[in-house]
Amino acid sequence: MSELLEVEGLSVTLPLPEGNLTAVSDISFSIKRGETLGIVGESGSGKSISSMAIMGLLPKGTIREANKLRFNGQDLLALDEGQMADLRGNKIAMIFQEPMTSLNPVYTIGHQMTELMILHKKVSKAEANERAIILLEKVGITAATSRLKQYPHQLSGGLRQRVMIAMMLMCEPDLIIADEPTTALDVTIQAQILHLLRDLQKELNMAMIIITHDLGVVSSVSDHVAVMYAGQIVERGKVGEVFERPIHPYTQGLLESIPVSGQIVPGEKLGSIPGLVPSLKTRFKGCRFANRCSRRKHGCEDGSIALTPQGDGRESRCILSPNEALKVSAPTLETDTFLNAKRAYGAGVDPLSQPLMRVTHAECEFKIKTSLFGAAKPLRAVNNVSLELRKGEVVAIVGESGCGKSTLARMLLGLQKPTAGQVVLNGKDIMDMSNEVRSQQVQSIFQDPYSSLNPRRTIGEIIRRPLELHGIGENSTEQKTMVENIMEKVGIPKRLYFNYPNQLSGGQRQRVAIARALILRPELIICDEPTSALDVSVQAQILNLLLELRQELRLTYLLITHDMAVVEHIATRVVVMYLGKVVEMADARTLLSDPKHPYTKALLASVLTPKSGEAVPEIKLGTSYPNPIDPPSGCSFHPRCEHATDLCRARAPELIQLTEKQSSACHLIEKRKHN
Amino acid sequence: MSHSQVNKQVDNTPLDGNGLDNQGQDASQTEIIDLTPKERLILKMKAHRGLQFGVFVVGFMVLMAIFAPLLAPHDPYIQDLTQRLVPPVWSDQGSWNHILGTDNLGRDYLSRLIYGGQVSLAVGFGAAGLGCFIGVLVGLSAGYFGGRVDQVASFMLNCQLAIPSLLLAMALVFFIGASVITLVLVLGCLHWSYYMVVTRTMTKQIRALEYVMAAKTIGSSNRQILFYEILPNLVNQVIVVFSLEVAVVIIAEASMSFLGVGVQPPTASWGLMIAEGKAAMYFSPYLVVIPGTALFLLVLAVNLLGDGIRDVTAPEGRN
Repeated sequence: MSELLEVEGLSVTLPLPEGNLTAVSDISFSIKRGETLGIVGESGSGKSISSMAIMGLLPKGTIREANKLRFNGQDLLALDEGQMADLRGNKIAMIFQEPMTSLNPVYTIGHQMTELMILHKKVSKAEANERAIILLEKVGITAATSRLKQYPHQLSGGLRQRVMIAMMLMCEPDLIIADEPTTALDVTIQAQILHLLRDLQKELNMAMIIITHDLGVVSSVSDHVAVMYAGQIVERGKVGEVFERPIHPYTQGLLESIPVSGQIVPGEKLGSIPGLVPSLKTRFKGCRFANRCSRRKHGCEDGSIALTPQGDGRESRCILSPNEALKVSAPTLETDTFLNAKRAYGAGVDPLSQPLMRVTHAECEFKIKTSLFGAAKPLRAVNNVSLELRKGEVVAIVGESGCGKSTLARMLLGLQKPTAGQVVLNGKDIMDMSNEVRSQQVQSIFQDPYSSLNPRRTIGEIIRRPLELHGIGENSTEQKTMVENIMEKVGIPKRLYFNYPNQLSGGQRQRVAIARALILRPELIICDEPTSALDVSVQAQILNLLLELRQELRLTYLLITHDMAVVEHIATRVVVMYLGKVVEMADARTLLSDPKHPYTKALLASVLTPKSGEAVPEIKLGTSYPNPIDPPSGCSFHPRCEHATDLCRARAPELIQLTEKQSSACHLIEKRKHN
Repeated sequence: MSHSQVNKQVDNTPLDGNGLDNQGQDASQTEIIDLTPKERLILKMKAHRGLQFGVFVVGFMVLMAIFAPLLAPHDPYIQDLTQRLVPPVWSDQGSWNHILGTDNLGRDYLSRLIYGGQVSLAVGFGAAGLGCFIGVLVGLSAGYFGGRVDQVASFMLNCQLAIPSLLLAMALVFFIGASVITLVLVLGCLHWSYYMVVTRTMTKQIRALEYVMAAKTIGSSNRQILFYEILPNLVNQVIVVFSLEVAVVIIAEASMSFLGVGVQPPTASWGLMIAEGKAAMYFSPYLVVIPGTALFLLVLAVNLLGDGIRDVTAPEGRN
């Protein structure tokens, strides 16, 4: 079969006032009909820019160069803007990351879906509508006819992404470019969307390019993979082979830094790639990965290294020979720290000790006005949650967006008053504590290191602020010494003391946030998705740092996350939340190996791992996440549960203690027990 | 825009706790370092003609007003009836003794212009400053606390917008009695709405950011959050609004003085000079043209200055 898209020697250069920035340098790939190519890379590796370059959607002033850019035998380099526009949406379709912003809020779904088709295919409105309905049904949207008249805000994120996909299919494109199609979605929805994309692609014999940072996504849907680093493709080949036997040290490091479900020794340090993703403004000489590579040798920096074939259709950009490269694929961990970490994992948690924090029947209700004149409706974000945290534990709270985990975190920080129940920290109600006392016992680390640091304050000022507020330290020199000590502990070079946050990378910023949380020497740290905004290789660094600090400072963590692999990696106990309620609670090992609640099972099943040959799991979770303002009757999970009975629809189950270590809220389990 | 390249050696200190040492920093990879915010600002300022014009004219007029007693060739209040309506130096009957001529009471017009600048600038910056204080305070609290506070603040704003402010200002000055201080107070109290709207919206956005939440967790009080975390992030926007309001207030002062409810004679003010000159406008047009031009230049310069500050402080790629 002939190639559908051929890209050869594509380079993209952005002119900046400081000089030219080469975002993509000399990348080549090709793709046939019915094939899927995954492009993986961390942020700033140039993966999105290359897809924009193919589509001809680069910002003004950007320079695109290529030896060959052919689509279906047509030379894309020779096309003008008008001809390109004819191709876009018609022959090449694109799916974007944010389903919340990629649909126009002022037009109905129907209008947006049919617009392109009427424009490109010159069909009547009725015909277009008909096709839209067929496609909406195909992507699994029920009541398709009535959906056409709805506006984007009336649909949930998962549904919107389905609409986006249906919209892309309207003109029967030959090539679909999906740029992080599932990154903004919850895990259970992610699996469904990927499933859908892959089925449709096979059925309609389209070619697909998936651009993502998530190795799990690539391995489960694509045939070939190209790994990008600093604007270059460093390794390319069949997915199974690349992930099984990575040749390039970067691919190896990337794969090591992901906690793979099922292969994790809890508390073990992840392999991580030292250093930072280089800025593309760097003028590279030789291998771009050399300064982070643990196996660098002489010759790595002499002249550019070409992408060389390594047999069976694989290519890699490394001077090591394949055999040499494959030799040392064991994790490059130091055994000492590894053993220490492992020993300390179970230790430190004393089950008989007084709980550090006790939450009893905590509830939080907001009043939401849904219409202008209507009475305010109660939204119960957190509903009758009780849990205990013992010193040294790492308790993970998992659940999809909207399950109330962030509200719970705010309550535990003493920033949100519970409408019922109480939160007791070290024997005292947290709402009765003064700011000063509270902030020295519990601190938090936030999700987005780009918004958790004030852009107008220097790193030094930010970390020192808690000391200033509570008058800790004799004078400013002593405070500065304290700040510098903590900076050293979390691995921020002291020279950054007078820098502003925008001069730091994401990982460095998260380290600053950790330093700020630690400087008051709290006992409990609440981490709200501490790694979800970071690059894969940096994520591992931060998780390792958190583990180390826990050991050294005897910290207790409450970890809020949606990433089951992170849970498996560092948590000792897991709490699963659904619509404000705890549905299952167990120690980490039990929960991961023997989940009882159907929701927990679904969550665990939707985890994608970069193991080869693993298909996208089939998640049987019918409808999307319910609106918390209008929760379903009885067990709130019943509309999505395939085992739901009449009892589930009528009465909400209680959290039942099953064993010493596990409790779960499900009627089905109770029944099983009675039998 | 000039293209400057700053090449520095990058210190690639490994940042992981893994202990993988990265000895022998490679000297091969150099990086085009990002310009620091200050360097970038200077680069943009050098390219912005409007801003440069604004800074020059406003600066010139401020200096002129401050050093008025040294610069003015005559006393602006001394009347010399023998020298009435002497035209400026460039007309046939002009003399170098009175470069810009004299008015109908024989006062030196250049000296009055210089002293009049004092009034315009004092009222302009004073009233805009007072409005800034009120507006930022109200906007900050409305945006941060929301709810009732926001409702009350927004109601005040609506009332203020519904009242014809120049009319109200005239009525107030009429009752209180005209002086520069009254003008500043009255105009200041009537020109805070723009600040309020801008700070309120910005505060609402910033309030939702995680660093405000972080400030709460480390134990900051509301006041500390407002003034230490939020306010510094509003400074750019407030400066822009301030410069635009200065122009508005200068015109308001001139209008009121022209209508007789502003600065009272014999104090010199550009608005008043236009008013006094209008009787003889037909035969001596310079009486109106000169203060009018000064007013025009000042307001234009202040506006360009404000626009310029907005442009150079805007994020990359937006104008």
